[in-house]
Amino acid sequence: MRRYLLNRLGQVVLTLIIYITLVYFLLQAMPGDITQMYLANPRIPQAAREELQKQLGLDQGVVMQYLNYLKNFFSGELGVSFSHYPRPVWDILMERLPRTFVLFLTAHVLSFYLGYLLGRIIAWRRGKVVDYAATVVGITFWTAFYPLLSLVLIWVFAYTLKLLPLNQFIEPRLWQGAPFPTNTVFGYMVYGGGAVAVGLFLVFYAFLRGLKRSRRNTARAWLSAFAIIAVALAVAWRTGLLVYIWDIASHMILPVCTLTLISFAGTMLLMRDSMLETVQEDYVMAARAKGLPDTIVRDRYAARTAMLPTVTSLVLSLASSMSGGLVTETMFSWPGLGQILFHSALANDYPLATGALAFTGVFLLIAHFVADILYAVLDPRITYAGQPAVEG
Amino acid sequence: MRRFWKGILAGLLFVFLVAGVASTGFAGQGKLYEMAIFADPTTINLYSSLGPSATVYNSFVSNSQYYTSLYGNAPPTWAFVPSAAADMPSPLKEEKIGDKTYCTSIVKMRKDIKWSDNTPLTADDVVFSYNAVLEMDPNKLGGNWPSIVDPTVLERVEKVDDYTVKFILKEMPGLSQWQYGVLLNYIVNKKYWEPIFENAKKAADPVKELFAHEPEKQPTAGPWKFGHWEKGAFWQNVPNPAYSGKGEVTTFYENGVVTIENPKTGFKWQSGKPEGKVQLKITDGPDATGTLYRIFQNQSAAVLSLTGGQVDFVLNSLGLQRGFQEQLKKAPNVALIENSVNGFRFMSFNLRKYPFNIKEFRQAVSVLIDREYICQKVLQGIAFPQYSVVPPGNAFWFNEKVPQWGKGLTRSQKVAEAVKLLKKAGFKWEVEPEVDLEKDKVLKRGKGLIMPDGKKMPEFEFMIMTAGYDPLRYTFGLNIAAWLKEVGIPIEAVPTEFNVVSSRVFDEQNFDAFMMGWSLSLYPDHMKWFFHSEQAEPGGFNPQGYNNPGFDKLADDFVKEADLEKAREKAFKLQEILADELPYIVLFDTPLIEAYKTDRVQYPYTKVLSGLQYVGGLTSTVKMLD
Amino acid sequence: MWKIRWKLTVRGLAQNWAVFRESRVGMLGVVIILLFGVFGALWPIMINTVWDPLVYHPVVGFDPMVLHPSPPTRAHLLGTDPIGRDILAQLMFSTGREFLLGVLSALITVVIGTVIGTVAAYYGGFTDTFFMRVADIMMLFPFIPLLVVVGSMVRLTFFPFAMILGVLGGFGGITIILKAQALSVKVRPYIDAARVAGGSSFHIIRAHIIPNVLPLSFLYMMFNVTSAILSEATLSFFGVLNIDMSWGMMIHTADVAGYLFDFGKYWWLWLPSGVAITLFCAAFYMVGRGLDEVVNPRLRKR
Repeated sequence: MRRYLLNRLGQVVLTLIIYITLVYFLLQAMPGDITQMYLANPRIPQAAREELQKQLGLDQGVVMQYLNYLKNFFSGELGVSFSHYPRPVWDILMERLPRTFVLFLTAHVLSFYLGYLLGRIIAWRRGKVVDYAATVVGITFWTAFYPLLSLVLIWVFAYTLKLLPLNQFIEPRLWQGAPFPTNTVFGYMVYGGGAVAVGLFLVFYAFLRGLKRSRRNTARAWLSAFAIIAVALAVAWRTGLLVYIWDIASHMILPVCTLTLISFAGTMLLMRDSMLETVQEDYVMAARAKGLPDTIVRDRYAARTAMLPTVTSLVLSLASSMSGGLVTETMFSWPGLGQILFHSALANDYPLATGALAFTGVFLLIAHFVADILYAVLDPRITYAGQPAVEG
Repeated sequence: MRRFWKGILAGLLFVFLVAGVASTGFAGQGKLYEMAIFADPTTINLYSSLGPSATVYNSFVSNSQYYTSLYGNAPPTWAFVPSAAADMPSPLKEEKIGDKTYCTSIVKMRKDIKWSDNTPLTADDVVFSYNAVLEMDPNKLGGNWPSIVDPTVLERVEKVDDYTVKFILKEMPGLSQWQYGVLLNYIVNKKYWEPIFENAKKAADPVKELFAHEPEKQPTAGPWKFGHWEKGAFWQNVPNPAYSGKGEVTTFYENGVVTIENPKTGFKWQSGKPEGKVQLKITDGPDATGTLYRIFQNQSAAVLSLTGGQVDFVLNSLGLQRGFQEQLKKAPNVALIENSVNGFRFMSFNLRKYPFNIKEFRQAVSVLIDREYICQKVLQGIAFPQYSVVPPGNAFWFNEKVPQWGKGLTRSQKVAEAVKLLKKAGFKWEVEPEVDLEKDKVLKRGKGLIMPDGKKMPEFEFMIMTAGYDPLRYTFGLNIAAWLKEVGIPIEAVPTEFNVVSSRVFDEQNFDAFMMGWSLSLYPDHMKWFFHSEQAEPGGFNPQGYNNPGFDKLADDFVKEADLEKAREKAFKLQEILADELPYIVLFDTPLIEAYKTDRVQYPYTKVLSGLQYVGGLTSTVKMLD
Repeated sequence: MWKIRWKLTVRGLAQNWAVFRESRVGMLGVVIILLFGVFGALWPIMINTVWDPLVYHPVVGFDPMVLHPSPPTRAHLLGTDPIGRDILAQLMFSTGREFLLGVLSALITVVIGTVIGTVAAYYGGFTDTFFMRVADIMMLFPFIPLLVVVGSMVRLTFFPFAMILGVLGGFGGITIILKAQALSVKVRPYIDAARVAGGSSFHIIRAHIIPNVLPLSFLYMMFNVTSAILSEATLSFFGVLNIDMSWGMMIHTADVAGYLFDFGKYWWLWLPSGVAITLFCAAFYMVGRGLDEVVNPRLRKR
């Protein structure tokens, strides 16, 4: 096992180097550079143009630039952005990461859960109306033209019905005199949310799985769950964070719902197929023959095994959430990593574009690594979902 | 199944709960002036803000909001007026200092201007603002700096007394370098910035060090100072408590005279003897309790927010597209304003190549292009035709009498006229185009154009924008190609990506014809930059290779001319030459449409070249309605 | 020999078709695709007979008789766009192109994927490791952002774009799946038999392994059509492609002109193309789902 891990780790590092090299030279091969921006203003002398080229290191040879970049990359130095000169690329990425992370993590978890629930149901009722309806509706959303769908939802829920806040990720009027930047709040949301999630998981695990399942224990579980949430809210309220968390959360509803709509079908169909395979396994048949209730067989026996392939797909999709989604971020004015990638590309800001691509690559690579280990640990079978590139 | 529905129900309940609380949160915005912008500004720092990463968003939220300068151009007439100076600069005169001859001028300053920390703005600040940049080297600062603090002209600035400074110039400057250059430089607070410059100078890369500083707490002398910046979400400015311009009245008279009067400090100035009616009277504020710039990532979002009441005005240097206009016309409490802009879209040939260097060929092309048809019919009034390299909106410099090729002719008349011009230059056809002037029909399309040297004209490439980049120019380009083909000119319109066009045209000069656009500054010295033969080498701004010694000389004289009236005459002459020789075939430009909330804001004026966005949304003179 | 093989193939296809027909979702997809096929085939007929190219050309057409964008009228059944072009004509014209784009890029993907997958499975060793690492790297690239980055620097035209989509897909995840399938074939006894009988590697791959991998390849081809069309639409929406007309371009045109703001009023500018994209992609995906039941017997109804 250890040798396998080390071997795999070595491959990961090698892959990463190749990936960065590819990204680097791909972007280098693109036409135009930042000094072209100077063309828009004829009064700027040639001298200033050359000066800038020197400052940005564009006058060195390509190979030298590349070697420097690679060296700096592994010491955590991604260079200086052209279009936000002289802000370090790392700074910009770190500023965008929490926003992207919170939004897409929530959406992916939600859509995974929804897909899991639905997949379980429709597999159990295969061939029935529910199965067809859910499949067709799911596929339609899965292949819907995403920018348009999000515009329609904004228009209906935020503009016409005025139920949800319109655009942006915070309400500036509230945040004008805020004592901390949004990223602090996002940070608390990640840590706090994580702590609460772990707490809830432990409570339910202890009461519902470990201890004897009884009405009393169930009640206890729910009580403790509420207590944990109440404590979390109280802490947030005492520290004055609650109103800000609330603001961000309310701005998240619309994008999260849209993302969920568009991507739950992936997990759903995967779960369905996986369930159909497991229900034919002997132990499920045996459980049924034993006369256990249908829901118990479904949830306790079939679904748990069937979940494995979907879990690995979740790991991968979590990683891709790091790269954010250009479409979501543009349509909902959510300034995350996808946005920065697009704008840096439009502005010929190579360091920023390279940095952003490399950065997301690292996360994806780690996720692949984790997924591989999960495969090895959990299940030798390999299942793969054919997924269209709806969101990247 | 039941549990699933329960879950859905609980989720919906939560959504509505949050929504309910969120929507009741903050109703009153009071006198806060809120605007929409489309990208983050890049910095708070003036030096970096005007440097290489200068963006229009920087200038919206900071530059003129924070800083004053010795002089300024007062919108909406753009008259040259003093702002931190007390009067016009003394006439430039030659003076021997040491063993060198310089050109000098003395500027007396106002004594009533204060920084936001309540200290007075003095000659020390002015001297520092110029000399520190000179010492840093404006070329190294890059961006706009070499044109503002122009090191080829400015030697240094000296303090005469606390409120008088003396400019020492290397040579006699032209209008562009003096009134439209050096004198417009922003003044920064010496006490705050001096240590930062000292620090930067010690660093390995002084410019980088200087740019990296974020002066959140710097004192300002403009109406606003920095409040809060949440990157990606909003930028907020708060009023400068010591702003000395508060209550100051600027009056524009019918004869062009401008007067400035400050009742609080007693400062008075007038550009001449006021005569005739008062055309406009502006009282400086600010009336708003703060300005908030919301950052949106797409236009639809910003416009939705305008109608939804989250923003009062949309700051967009490109204006609103026609779809928005049509929908906003009917929106309650929204007013639309239309202004002309300072720029143009044009097509140009590579004049180094035969037969593009033949004047009549270009004139024929210009005749064939029916600007009016495209603007009014195809683009339905979202663009207006243009013929001169100085747009009519820049009224002071625009020459009305430039020739307008083919204007008002019908399709068949245009073809006939173009054929006449081409024949005059010696062109022939294998099949000559035929027209019926009475029925206005082209009977026979031209084929096989033969050049004056007897060879058949080969097909050439006309680079136009891609439909995705700019549908307007794309459509226009395709139409141009269709018209030229009608008389047998073998043109092929190729949609090309902007970066490729710009590197092929400007860096490689490897092209036949292209289409592009410029946006200009008020002072029309672009006529020199775009057409002077010294700009014809790769990387220059005359990639079409226009070369006319007579023009070069006149353009040089024009730029050096310090007298406004004489400069104007020369500018008119330059426009005439260009309209005859057509190194650029100017096509059209689009007016700028903007929208604001009438129940929230009231502007002193809305008619101004390039629209209210060009004056930053008039943050300090706008009246907030509550 | 040849005839027998042909008969076997036909019989196999007929059997598979029988299984496929059981899948209602798959059949729904086939019907939609056929409808789109008819719709797209109408284009050359219409433009050559009924429609005046000057008015109905999808890119440079212009109708001087009405104000644009015009709501649906008798002359323009689906109205016109902001620069005066007929929406129905654009929709029809683009249908053929979407087919071409989707099928071309998916075909490239599948051909590359199948060849590499089988070769990697058959030879194993270095070949295998090499292509699997390439696939890993390909899967690292965030697809859409990368294309946006490339597209915003060099505006891609139709065929290069289809090629890039196809090639990027071909070296990516699909090789891993097809390799797994090929591996399961490779270990079957008749492969050994063929080898013992003196069959060359080329022959074995071509005659025994590829035919068994093909159904799965075909299945993934359907999914790839979907992803190609969606990528094209998304990139067009952001204006980073140099394609003169497509469904995505139609929405982009409406968007940059500011008509995607009041939805109800200018519905004809976005609804036809939006629905077309969604239906078309969904149809191919559904066919893919149907094929899944053919390829993967465990999913079939008992």
